[in-house]
Amino acid sequence: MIKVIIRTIIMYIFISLGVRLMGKRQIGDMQPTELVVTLLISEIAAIPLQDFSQPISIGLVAIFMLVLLEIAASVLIMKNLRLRRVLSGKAITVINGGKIDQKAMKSTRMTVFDLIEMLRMQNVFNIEEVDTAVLEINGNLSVCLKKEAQPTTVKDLNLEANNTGIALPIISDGKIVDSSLEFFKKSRSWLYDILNKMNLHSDDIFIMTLDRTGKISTIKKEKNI
Amino acid sequence: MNRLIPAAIILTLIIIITFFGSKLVKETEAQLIEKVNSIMDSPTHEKAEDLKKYWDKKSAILSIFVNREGIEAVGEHTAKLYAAYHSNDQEELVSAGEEIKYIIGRITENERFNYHSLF
Repeated sequence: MIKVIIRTIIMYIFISLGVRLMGKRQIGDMQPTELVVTLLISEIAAIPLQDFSQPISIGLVAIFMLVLLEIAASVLIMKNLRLRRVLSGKAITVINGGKIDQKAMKSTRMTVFDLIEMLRMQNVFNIEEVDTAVLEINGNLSVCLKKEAQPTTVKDLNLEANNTGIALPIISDGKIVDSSLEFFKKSRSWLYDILNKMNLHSDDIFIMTLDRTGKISTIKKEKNI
Repeated sequence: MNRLIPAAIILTLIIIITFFGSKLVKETEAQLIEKVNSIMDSPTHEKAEDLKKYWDKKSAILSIFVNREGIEAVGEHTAKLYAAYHSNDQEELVSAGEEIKYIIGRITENERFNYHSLF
């Protein structure tokens, strides 16, 4: 039984490392080559865990070879557009200028029901509102609505608005997040000054966020939790 | 670029492991066959002991690189050869020796790169 535990720990560490090397993508966002590698890795990883006559090194070498091939493919795809088209395919426009491209739909083996379902997933319930719809390589549908169906923006109303950018946590559960301070080019001493002015200690704070305009939002820790 | 450096390190490690594994299997085959032949020609207690100890030591390292079934089969026949020597069973000794040579040959053959094992 101890062998199972040790082998599982080893495989877990190395597979996590391999997947981390491949980059951050969710199953739904994967390119075809990434999907193939992920499926193969899951199959290969199971072999040394189920069959103890197989040395663990064979599984690890196979997994890392797949990861290396995936990295090599991604580098080549980045440098060569033709290869990108061969290995990853290309995005296909299924609605162009408000008109459904039936030939494109046939080539992607997409039915009208599939198209309407994918539009609904993009919060589009009337196909008449669509100007352009593109079936992306990863299978998602990108939709551009006709001008009259697009939601009103601040620009349409001729109003002024400040871009605050993203608000990042600079203190999370009492701990200072240095990477966020670095992002806003602030130091710990700046944060300590702010905390002094607020008469607070970092341990008292559940979350403190900062945005590009310098706006700070704070939520204190609740007592007795 | 940040993915290429670890990838290059891993590739280097894989090449080293593959090379080392292949070299180890070849060396073990050569030495094991030599020891078995020596026992089959003129069996002595020291030679039988030496073969047993040699395989006990090498089988542990080999199990990192090759399928355990083959290693266990060699181990089983090494024990048979050892027992055959002590029971003065020449026929069984020769049979076990030939089995060891055949199995270690198969293990080496599996590790060697050739087209029929590739496909």
